[in-house]
Amino acid sequence: MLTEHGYHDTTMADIAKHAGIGQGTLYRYVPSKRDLLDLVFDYSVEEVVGAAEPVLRVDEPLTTAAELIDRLDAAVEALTALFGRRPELLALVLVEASAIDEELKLRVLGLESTVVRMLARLCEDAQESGFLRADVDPQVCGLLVTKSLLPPGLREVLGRGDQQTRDRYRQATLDFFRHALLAAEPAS
Amino acid sequence: MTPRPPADRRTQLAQAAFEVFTDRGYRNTSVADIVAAAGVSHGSFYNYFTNKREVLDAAIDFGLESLGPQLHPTAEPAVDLDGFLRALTAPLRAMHEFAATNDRLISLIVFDAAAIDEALTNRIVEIVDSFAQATRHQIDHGVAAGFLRPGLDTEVLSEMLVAMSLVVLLPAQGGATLPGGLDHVIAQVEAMLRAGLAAPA
Repeated sequence: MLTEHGYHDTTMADIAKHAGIGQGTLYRYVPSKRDLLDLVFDYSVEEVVGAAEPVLRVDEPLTTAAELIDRLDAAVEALTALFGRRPELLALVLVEASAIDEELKLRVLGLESTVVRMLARLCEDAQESGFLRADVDPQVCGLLVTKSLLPPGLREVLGRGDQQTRDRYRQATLDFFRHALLAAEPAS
Repeated sequence: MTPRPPADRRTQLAQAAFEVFTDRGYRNTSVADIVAAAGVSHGSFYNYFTNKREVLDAAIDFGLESLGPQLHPTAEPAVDLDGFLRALTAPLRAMHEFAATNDRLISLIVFDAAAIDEALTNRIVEIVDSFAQATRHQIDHGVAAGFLRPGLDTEVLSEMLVAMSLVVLLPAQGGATLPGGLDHVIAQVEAMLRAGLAAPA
């Protein structure tokens, strides 16, 4: 309901009707529309993190430098597939934008720092295995890689994404980080 | 930021709006606050703007005109790799300093724009795009001059680099402090750009 009709145009009565429950029942679980949005947001975050995390956090240590790039690639692909399957998760970003307040801002920042932490861990692992340049700071690296995902993400949110463009961003991003982060191959 | 003497009443209102918006946020500001800050009458506000939303555009124009130039990579193409890295990292420091004193504006751009309306979202996308164009100009030139790798997708890369530079705004957004501080982050960005873009020696 929220992603289809927008935050301000959806009432609690609409939501109760859509769910086929009484308004009283709805209010017993969620005291307000704002609380409902928080629930939806948290649920979406779980889905997004759930899609990316298993790909990024494999227990096996990295054995080749190419694997680091492959994992990044696989995470982006898992996310793209998730958004393809569930476009309403992206639409939610716009819903939130119209209901933004200090608290939601903190939630958005919290989501960003979760992604940053996952990527920083991946960079740490790669550095321990000797695939990442020794002078790369994994924390800064996590931040920068997260930000680099913004332009293609924004395109999707604005509905300007298509397969060809996605592939192009993916290629350019991976090519850049392959050069920017990986330690030089030992001479064989 | 040094306030300029207002060239005319419209600029005077735009400047006042910029200051009030960045100080209190868009939503917490009324037309009455803007006219009070500008020291003009309510009536004269409506000679120039029909409502608060319209003066927001003028306020953004004002902000960009007075602060924009130092936030862009310079238009003068760099002649070597070190010059290129300086041109691309100089705006990071300017952005960080700008954001530290104008955190409300950053919040306005990052969080409120999409809430206000689609036209403003598009405006912000255009502004970011102008930053990307300036960056692309530098990269294209570097490839042509031979100190950057050939075959770079400069259009996509420049967008990506602009997005990456937003990292210095993090503290102003209410996010975490920069790990290791601003100088460390800039040094990391520089090292990444060098390794990521330089032509093989």
